[in-house]
Amino acid sequence: MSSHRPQRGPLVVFWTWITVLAGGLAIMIIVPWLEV
Amino acid sequence: MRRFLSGNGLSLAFLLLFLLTLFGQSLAGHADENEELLRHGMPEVGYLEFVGSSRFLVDVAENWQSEFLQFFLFILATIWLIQRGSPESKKPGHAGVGSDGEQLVGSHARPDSPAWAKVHGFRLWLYSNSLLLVMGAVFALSWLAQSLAGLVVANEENAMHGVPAEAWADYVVSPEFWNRTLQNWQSEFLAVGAMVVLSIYLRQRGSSESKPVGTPHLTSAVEPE
Repeated sequence: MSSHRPQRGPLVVFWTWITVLAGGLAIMIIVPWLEV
Repeated sequence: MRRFLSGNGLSLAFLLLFLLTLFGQSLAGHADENEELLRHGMPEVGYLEFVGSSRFLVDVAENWQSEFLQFFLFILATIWLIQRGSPESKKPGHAGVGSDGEQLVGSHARPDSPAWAKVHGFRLWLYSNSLLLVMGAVFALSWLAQSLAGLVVANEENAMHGVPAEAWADYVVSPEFWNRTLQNWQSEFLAVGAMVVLSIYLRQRGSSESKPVGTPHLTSAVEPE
């Protein structure tokens, strides 16, 4: 097993969480902003 | 795949819990909204219309902001404040941001240290505070989102009662905005304080949030010096 494989997981979950946070914030700001 | 799951189970479990409970919140919120509309003799809203509405988003945002404020303040406070005996705290005498040697930065960086730990100037400052900055940014942006979505909801109700619409600047000093905000903050601070204090004397065998069971009560951090 390559020594690089276990190190990919944390990077995958890191960017998954960044995407969830950024996507959630974008929706929560833009949707009401359009209605204000 | 098994290796990926076992190596990242903690974050994946919480991601799954987040998605399931957010979906549950949307179902319960939709049902609650329609009960309320029926009581007022108004037509029901569809599920997709509800989850794209400020009524749903204000409830999501107000909980997000308080959670991220909690972690933002906890990260900040644990730089400078100590709780003797708590595994959440550094040891007495270690308050502050630490020396470059302790922090493995600049000329003290190891070959496998992150790239921005090896440099000097703005990039080192930014990377040295990146966790606090991102948690603080998520807090500030979700609090902004709460204020915008809350304003839309408040103005929908104002319109229903024939009251003129409020401006954002009025809403953010309104009792409703601060009631929504502070009811979340108080519970976060209570829980963080309880975690810090209870973990002095209580243990959970096997949890990284606890000291090992046999560690003396007044031993603070369990990480090596």
